[in-house]
Amino acid sequence: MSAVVKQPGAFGRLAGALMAAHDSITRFTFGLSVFAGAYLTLVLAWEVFARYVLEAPTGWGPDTAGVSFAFMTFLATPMLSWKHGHANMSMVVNSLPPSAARFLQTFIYFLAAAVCGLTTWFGWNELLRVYEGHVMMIAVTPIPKWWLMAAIVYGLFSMGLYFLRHGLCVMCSSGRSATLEKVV
Amino acid sequence: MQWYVLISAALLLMMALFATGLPIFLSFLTLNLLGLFVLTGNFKGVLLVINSMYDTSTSLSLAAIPLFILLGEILFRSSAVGVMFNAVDALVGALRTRLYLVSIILATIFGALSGSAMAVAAMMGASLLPEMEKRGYDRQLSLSSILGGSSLAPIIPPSVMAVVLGILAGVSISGLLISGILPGLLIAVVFFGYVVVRVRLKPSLAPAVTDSTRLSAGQRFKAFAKAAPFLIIIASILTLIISGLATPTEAAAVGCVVAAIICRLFASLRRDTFLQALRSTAWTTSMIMIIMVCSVSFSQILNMSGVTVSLVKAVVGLDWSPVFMFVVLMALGFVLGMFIDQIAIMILLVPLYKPIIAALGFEPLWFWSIFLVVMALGNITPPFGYSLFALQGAARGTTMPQLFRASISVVVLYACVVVVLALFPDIVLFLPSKM
Repeated sequence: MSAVVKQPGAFGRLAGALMAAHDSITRFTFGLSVFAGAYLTLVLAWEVFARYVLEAPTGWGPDTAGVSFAFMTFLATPMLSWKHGHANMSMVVNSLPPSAARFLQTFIYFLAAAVCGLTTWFGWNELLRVYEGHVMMIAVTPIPKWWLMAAIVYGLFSMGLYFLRHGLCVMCSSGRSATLEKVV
Repeated sequence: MQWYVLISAALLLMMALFATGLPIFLSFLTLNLLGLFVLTGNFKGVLLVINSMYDTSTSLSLAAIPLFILLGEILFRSSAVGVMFNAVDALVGALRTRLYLVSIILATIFGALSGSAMAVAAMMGASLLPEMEKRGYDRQLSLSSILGGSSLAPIIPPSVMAVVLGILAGVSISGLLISGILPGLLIAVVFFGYVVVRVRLKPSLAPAVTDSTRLSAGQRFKAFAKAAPFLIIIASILTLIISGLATPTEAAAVGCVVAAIICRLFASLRRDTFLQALRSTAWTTSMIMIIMVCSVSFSQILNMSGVTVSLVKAVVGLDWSPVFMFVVLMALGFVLGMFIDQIAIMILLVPLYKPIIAALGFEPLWFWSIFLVVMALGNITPPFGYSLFALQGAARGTTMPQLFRASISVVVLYACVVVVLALFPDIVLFLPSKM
């Protein structure tokens, strides 16, 4: 007996490609976050060395360390949303009957997507404002503020997208632990 | 709207959001957005949240968090743990309570190195507990000693929790880190005494001493010499902080570089394990920091609403004795610690406590150091202490009732130490006063 595999339609293929692209971007930015962590470590250790051994502290060290710290946070968070890595308390959800748990989980994912979406919208407006105004960070080294705002907006937007995807996934599947990969 | 209605509704909503399984950072973000909407009638105030995110995410004081995490990752992913185990095992020597003491000392050292009580509990549960059972040590007391030792991680520096608390409470992070040393060591000594007394009263709790545990002085020295380089890591961090040569963040960065060099030379740190450590650090940092950046505006919104001022007036107007107030403030942190994540508790309570302890005239460093100990206690207290779940996951065949029973003695001992710290503030304040 041969299994009949239903081929996705044009919309399904497009959605699949978009989701794959989203995941690829998430992997890439997570890699950047790892790099930012390494940079943060080295630049601050170098700062101590430069201050006491070379007697020539850098002005840019602490400034760029602050930027890399922010990048480290916001470029990695979408990966956590994708892989269900955020800290939460799931005792109540886990103790509910499957149907109630599924309903609650769907509600939670859509609420999360809405909250991230709203914050992204205001963050986007602020990003445009600091970009158009050429606003710089208050630091020794002039660093455009929009770099960081872009990272914040990216993190919030991508997280919102993942929560939306998870919500749709749980809504469309029967299992409590439905994952995106199953639907794609 | 009355201030007590506002704060009660906010706290109840927060608990409800936590209970639904919504990620903690989103619970705070949702509450903040709703709070701004209630106060201003629109969502334009969300800009306040966005700017708080920007300020918090670029704070170099908070950058100590990923660096302490990386330090622990480097040490745990190389064979430094094995070297330390052998050294402590050799130094403790032929005592009936040997592995109990080894578990407490190791948990203390690993806790200091990693800063994560859960990680230490899981590691000790997977590695040392089976060995203790095989050799005839009592399971209950073994679990108690591991739980007790691992709970020291947030107290003894370097500690991620101390950094978070220092930022939220606005006290010296260096001071808070250093103030944890003596209380942490005191708790370790109390656990030490506890297992010795228990085994003396009931010798069947531990196996008899065998010849294989008797080592010559030369063998002991050799084991210690192998572990000495790893102790340099902690020493270098503490020296930089205490001497004031570097900020805690810079000291942590130097510690990471020193750890990478030492683990490359004396342990098995390779390129791939180092990359794994960096990846894991990015993951954990992001998990903690997204909670921080989304929640700091909570205290600003409380101030905007007038809740903070009204609460302080009400508390001061109660005219309760400072001792009773101290007990109430600590008890609330302890009770919440049984159910809620430690960082979430700090974000919820610190903005409320900060003006209250100022009004009551408590020494901030003393109060927050003891609060940190109480937070650590919540982490091992049933029914939802995180370390209990971590240990159960790692220690195969261990049931939750067994862990609950094992944790009772640890909780009682901890509570006794908290009383001692409250009565003798010098234990907490002595080292910071020397900085």
